[in-house]
Amino acid sequence: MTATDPATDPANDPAQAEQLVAAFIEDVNRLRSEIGKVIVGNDAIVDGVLSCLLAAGHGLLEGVPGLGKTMLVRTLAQTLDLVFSRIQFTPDLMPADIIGTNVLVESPSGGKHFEFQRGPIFAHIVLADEINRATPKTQSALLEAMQEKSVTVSKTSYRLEAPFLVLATQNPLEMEGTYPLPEAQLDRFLFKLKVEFPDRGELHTILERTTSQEEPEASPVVGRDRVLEMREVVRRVPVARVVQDYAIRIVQATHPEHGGAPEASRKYVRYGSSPRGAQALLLGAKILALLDGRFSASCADIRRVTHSALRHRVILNFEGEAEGVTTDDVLAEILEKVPEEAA
Amino acid sequence: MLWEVWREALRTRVMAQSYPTTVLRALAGTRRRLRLQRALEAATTAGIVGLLAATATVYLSKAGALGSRGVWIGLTLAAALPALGALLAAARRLSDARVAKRIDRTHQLHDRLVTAVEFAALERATCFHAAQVRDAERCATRVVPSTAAPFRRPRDIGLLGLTLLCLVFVLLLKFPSTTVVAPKPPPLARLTIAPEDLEPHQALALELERQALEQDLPEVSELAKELNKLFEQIQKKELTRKELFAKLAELEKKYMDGLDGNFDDLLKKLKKMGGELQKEKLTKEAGNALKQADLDKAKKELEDLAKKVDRLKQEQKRRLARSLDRASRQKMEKDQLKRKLDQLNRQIRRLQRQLKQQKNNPAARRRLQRKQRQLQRLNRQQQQAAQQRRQLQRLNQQMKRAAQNLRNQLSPEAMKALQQAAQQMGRFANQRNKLRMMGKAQGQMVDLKELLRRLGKGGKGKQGKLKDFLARAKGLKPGQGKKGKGKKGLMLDPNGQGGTLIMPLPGPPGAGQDDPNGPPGDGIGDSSDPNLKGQATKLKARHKNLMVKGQESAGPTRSEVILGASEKGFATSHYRRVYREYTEIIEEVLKREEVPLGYKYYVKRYFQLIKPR
Repeated sequence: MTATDPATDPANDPAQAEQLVAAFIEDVNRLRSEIGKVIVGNDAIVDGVLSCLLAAGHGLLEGVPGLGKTMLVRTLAQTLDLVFSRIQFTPDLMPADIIGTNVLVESPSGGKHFEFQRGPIFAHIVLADEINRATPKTQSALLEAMQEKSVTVSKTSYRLEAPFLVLATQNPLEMEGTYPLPEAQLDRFLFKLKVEFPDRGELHTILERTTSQEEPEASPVVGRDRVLEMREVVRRVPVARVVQDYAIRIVQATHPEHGGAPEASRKYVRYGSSPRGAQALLLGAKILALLDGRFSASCADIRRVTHSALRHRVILNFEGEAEGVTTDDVLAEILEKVPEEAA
Repeated sequence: MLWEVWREALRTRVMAQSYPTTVLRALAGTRRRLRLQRALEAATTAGIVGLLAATATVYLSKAGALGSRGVWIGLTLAAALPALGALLAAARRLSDARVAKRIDRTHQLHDRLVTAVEFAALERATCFHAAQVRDAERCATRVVPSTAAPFRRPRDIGLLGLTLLCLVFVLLLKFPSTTVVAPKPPPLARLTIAPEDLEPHQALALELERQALEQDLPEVSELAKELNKLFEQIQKKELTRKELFAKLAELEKKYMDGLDGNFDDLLKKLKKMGGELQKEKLTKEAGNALKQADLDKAKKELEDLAKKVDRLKQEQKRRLARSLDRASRQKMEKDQLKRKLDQLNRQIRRLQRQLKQQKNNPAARRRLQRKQRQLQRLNRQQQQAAQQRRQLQRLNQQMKRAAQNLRNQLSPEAMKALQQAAQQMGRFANQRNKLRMMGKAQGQMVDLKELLRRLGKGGKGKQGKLKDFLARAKGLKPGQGKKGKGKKGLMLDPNGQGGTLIMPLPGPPGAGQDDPNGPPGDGIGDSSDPNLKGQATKLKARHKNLMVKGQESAGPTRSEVILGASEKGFATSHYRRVYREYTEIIEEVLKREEVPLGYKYYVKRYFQLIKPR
């Protein structure tokens, strides 16, 4: 369903919005079901990844190996009929390995010239596997591309085609010999999604699917253009002041020096979330509202995306780390203590 | 702040006009319930404060630290606090967003209403805004205000109950009485009057009774008996001072009301009548009696005359008739009191007008009351004068009838008329005696009241006061000196030959004379200074004796009688007559004039002392 150009939308025609939302839901459901053919369970992760796609953000997936993180991203790329590339980050990976390099090429006429060879980053969906294993220099090359949506090589900028989605993974177990992403760079990820070990039923399904003759494959269901339209729809979803205020107060509560910060923040947090966290909250809430068939984000949507949007943006202090407090625990207390209505 | 509240309310009202109806209805219903709940909560909280205030008020009131006014204020405040609290809480601002949020939360509407409330007022809304509002409108139909704002028991209800219990406890508390209970007044002491103070009054009362019986005055006799009974009760100490005053007032009211009569005018006319009767031999004795105001004798003479009528000769009858005719011409002037009455009435009217203008003028009020009492008295006198006038007229008529019958030789009728005249004379005598006796009794009651007043002020009785007076006259302190025997003092010869009048005089101070610093005596001294006469005057000049003869006349003069009383005693008939005359005059004067009571006592005491024995 072709989305109407927002510039020509009649101002007060709710039917228009209803149509848009209905189409959005339909497309997302198709994506979900298509992905579901390959990926078992992890609905929250799938929704999270889709949210990152539709919100024009990037996602950080954290989970032990073998949980299907790579497969999820690949499947997502398949369902969207988008170019997919996978980058396995290793300690010896160089920036040029990501972004590409100029290569000396011999022309048929015998002349030699440099030709830019695009790196794996030039894709719509990039899986940066074990991003914390690469050196900070290599990480920065990717993160620059994530932020700028372009790559500069030898003073030439190469635009990355939209939609551009980077899904990075981290292994929470093997931290030795890794280069944890600095806070400033973690902040560029819209969501940090924790991939959990599947439950028993899901394992059964996984085994049945992956150890039989027929391995399911996903087919493209949504094109590139439709993804871009869907992104526009997400941007058009309004947020009421009270909901926005709630998101702001949650972000403010992550700061220990703030008056409204709960005990956990004051005690265990070193740095709170940046305003990007509030952006992530709102974008994620809008998507959830759309998926719920609503036309505006609610405080409940904000609450649902809080952990994904903020867990990687809150930096614990030594005391927090020593006591084994996680950012999720802090965020849980924040959600409990911060009321939806301002006093 | 009020301005801000009003402005916000106005803005909300304007915004609300853009809300969908279902949303408005949902908001309104929920808002009502929220306000009510707030009012309930606030009323409970304020009720706790009010109950505490009431408890404190009751406690302080019972402890005597708070007057009735304070109690009223405290209790009124306590009662008003819950209502005030409820009103204030209910009136507090309750925004649409807040109400909508409550509905969203309780109905799991995912902030549809609160978003719709905001979006509905947007000037530049997109289709998404409109869709959201429409979505909210659809969801609002399912809203149940009672679900959104259920009534719940106020949080402080437990505390309210506890405070109420405290109040009940304080109400039931019994405080020791802090009011000063006035000690029971001791029972009024029975009146005690010294016998020497009471005796004279008793003697007078007995004398009054005897005279009343003698003169056949039953009313006076009754009064005298009541007085005697009163004195007996005083002797037996059966009465208090207050009771005695009350009884005296009762007696006055019973017997003295209406006794303002004046007999003088009638007596004057009767004397004139007597003067006319004196001219005729047959009626001379009657005339003499009337001239001397001896009405009893006059009555007797007329009765005797009536008996003699049928034995009289023609000429005698004619002379008698003429005498009776002349005597019957006496008339009393009409209404001499009228002018006084008119004057009094004018004065009273003026005072009443004055009082109308100056309502708070106690002096004018008192004057008015005094004039009104005078008016009442004058009215009574006028009535009595009229009665006397009629009685005199009757006497005149009877005399005229007697005279006419004598001329017509109707002796029995003349006798009857004379007897009737005698009876009328007897009635005059009775009235006069009654007035006199009542006057005496009234005087005695006044004396008794004066005695009571003196005793009530802690003063001494009359005897005590007299002793003090005589002691002071001697230059001693009251009570100083013991009783000594007095000697006879100077005596004046009633024959006018330079004699001396012997009078018992108080004696010198006893121990005080030798020892001025000695203990005070217990009475009046009764001896005198032996050097009272002083040394005889030594006349160096030559003198010769001259005898002056006195003029012979009918009996001694009044002054002779008085002066001679001390020598010859108070038992002579002349003295008795003189005493009676003077007593009557003095009683009249004491009654009419404004003589201070203290002086009245001395005058009466004097007359008691010189009473014929």
